[in-house]
Amino acid sequence: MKYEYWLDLLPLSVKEKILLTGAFKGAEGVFNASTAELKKSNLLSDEKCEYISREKNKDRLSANYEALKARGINFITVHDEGYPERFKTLKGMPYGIYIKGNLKNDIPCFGIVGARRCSAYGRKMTSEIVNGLSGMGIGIVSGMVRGIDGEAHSAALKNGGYTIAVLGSGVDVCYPKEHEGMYREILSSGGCIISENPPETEPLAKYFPGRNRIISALSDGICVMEAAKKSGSLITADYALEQGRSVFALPGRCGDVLSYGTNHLIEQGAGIIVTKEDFFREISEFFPKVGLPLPEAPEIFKLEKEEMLVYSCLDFYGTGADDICEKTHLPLISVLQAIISLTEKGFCKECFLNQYVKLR
Amino acid sequence: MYKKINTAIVTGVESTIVCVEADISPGLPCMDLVGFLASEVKESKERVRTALKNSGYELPIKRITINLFPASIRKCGSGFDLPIAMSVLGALGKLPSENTEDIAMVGELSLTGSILPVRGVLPMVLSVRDKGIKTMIVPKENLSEARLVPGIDTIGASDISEVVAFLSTGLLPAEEETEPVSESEETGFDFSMINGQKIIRRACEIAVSGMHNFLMIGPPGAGKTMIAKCIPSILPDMTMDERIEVSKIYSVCGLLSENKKLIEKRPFRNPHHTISTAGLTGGGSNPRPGEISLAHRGVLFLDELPEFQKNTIEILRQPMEEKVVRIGRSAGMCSFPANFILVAAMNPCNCGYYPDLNRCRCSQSSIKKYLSKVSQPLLDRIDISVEAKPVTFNELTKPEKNEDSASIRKRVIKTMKVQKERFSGTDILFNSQIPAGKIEEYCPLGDKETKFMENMFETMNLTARTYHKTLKVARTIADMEDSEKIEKIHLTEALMYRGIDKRFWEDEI
Repeated sequence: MKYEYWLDLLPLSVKEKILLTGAFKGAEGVFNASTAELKKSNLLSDEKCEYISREKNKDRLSANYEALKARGINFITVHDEGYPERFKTLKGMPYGIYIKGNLKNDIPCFGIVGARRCSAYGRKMTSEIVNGLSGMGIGIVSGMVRGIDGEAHSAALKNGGYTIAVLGSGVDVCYPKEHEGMYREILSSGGCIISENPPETEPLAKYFPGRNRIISALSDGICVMEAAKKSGSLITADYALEQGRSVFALPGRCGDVLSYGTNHLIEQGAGIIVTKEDFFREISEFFPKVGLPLPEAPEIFKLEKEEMLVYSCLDFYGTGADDICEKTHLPLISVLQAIISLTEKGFCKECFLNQYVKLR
Repeated sequence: MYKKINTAIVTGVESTIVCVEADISPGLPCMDLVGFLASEVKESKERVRTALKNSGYELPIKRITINLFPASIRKCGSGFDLPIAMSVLGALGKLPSENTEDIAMVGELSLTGSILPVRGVLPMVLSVRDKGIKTMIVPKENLSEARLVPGIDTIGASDISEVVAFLSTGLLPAEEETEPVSESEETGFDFSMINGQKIIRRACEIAVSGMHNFLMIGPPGAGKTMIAKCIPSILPDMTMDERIEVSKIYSVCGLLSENKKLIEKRPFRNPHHTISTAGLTGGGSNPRPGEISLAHRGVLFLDELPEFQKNTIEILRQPMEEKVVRIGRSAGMCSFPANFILVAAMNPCNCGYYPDLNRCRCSQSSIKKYLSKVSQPLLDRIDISVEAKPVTFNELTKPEKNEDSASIRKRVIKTMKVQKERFSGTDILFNSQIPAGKIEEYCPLGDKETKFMENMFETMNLTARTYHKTLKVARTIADMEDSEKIEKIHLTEALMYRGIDKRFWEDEI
């Protein structure tokens, strides 16, 4: 594998790498070929051939690969068995991928993507959808950044489901730093961290579109939870369509910046999540092997009159205490009391100072 | 010949008596000043010599020695010119010797012999009176300030000849008819001007009633500054002692003379966020009070809290606990009172619109960074925080009349009285000052309430500190309703005002 690792680090395109390995019978052949032989193959420009010859260093070769192994990072190329089946039919997939943890190729997977800076509504719906999908035995693929991605992973972990995090950095670089705990939990829960970038790659913006194509390629379908007009999640959706994956989007209020992207996707023909149950049913038809999640018991609301009034003013986006007073014509004290008792019963939560969202 | 004259010096906001003595003896003609002098006092001999010459007194060709005692105090300030000049004249025998024992004087001299105003006359006159001296001569411009002190004769002089005339013949300098100063205009900020904002109105009342520090978070244009400016209007009037105490601070800073009377309204100080540490707490080699002392007994309003320099804000921690700021310099230590309510305002993020995701353009990490600019130890000292929301058009044009400050103030005074009774015999004055060890004693909870708080502790992720803050605020709310017992309803409300803390940015995954 050390020759393959060496080849992967060269700044060549995927196509060139595959052609080279074909022409010289594997990466070792490429390594051992002389500059003249490389030039003769007519696959690369002369500068590239000379560059490759300069990069050959037999001593470092083994040491580098051993260091990679020692860090628990698996390196897999197109020619290996572990290379994801899903990638094989697609164009533009990486020559080699770096994996930490356990990459399962045999279970259905769903990509959950969305805005980093998301609303309370986006968070709530993400965790509910992921709960259902994990319950059906579907793996959750996402990007481990803040916002929707993070929420998707943590909901999957909470449910004991399988989850894959695709990073824009190297697999040993946790981005963002706050997700260090989640990074470890994904690995300890039997999940997988994957990246096409060599270890120690910094999380630069230029790597993220490439990461998005891997998210969609690893998934059988993707769901965009929240996306503004210009959003990386929309890039993921485009890749998903190119790769023949189905795309779902969560509708939002017209006029909400964070729902523009998703509503637009629906307009263009993406699947719409009308209710969770419909969505789960549709998914279960895709994957004959999985079952539907257990239907949730219908909730019986038992609220006092004032609590009911206040509850009716709450939404998933956040309402201020003053607004509730205005709408209900209740005195401030009663509103605050109602909010506290709703919090106590688990119906609402403070999402920012004196801003409340409902939880059910 | 020898002569002694009394004067006074200000250190911090307090004043001590200093004596100036002059002696004239044969020798080489020179004028020596001794007694631990700052450079402005050393320069005084040139001014005195010229001022005396221009007032018609030629100095003899003899050795003049002047001593200011006690020598242990560093003499600084410009008020020594007049007493030095008078002691020289006395030593020359130009003044009758017996009638200067009961007189103190202060004033700066110009070369023409006229007397210029000085700072800190109020504390000086107070200390001179307390020493039992009957008369004090001050610069004419400082007379109205000096007259604020009862029980002592104060005389305003405009030049050396008037002082000499008074000392030798008892002739009082002519006094201009000073117009009685009209009541200063109301600041014009009243809670009746605030429409809507129910939650802030209520929070302000609680904060003032228990002297809790107070933080408002909201977008630009939500009226945070206007609300802060209304807060002094619901504070109770100052007592006479408090007024003198505050006026002394203003006198030392040279801010009193323009008012011509004691400070009547509780101060409202609104320093800009570029203020330096010394500007906020006081400082200088001869320490002067800073903004926090100027806000003594009133409101210190820090607008745009995260924009203040971090070390400037951190310095507030000790004065907020001890209600006094101590400044140590080589010349000695002085302490300024600093008992104020801190009212702070801040935006929730750089653009100011978070959590309105349709308008806010900030990334999660920049919001987190912005909010965490305010240090946790400072937030821990703020008991009440609320969100300020921009008023809607409906609220703005609502015909209904808002409650005015006067009626809110009546309730505040009542609540303060309840606290005064409870804490009589202790050094606590308000609920906000209850130390952690005494929480159980002053804020006992019934079984039902304890159970409720236990429940909320879990649900709301409270910490020991937020729990204590909640109890103190609940104590104030209960006092406002004249309830000896803290009920669930009081705890409920107090829980809604607990501050911003890590939960707004660390909760999220």
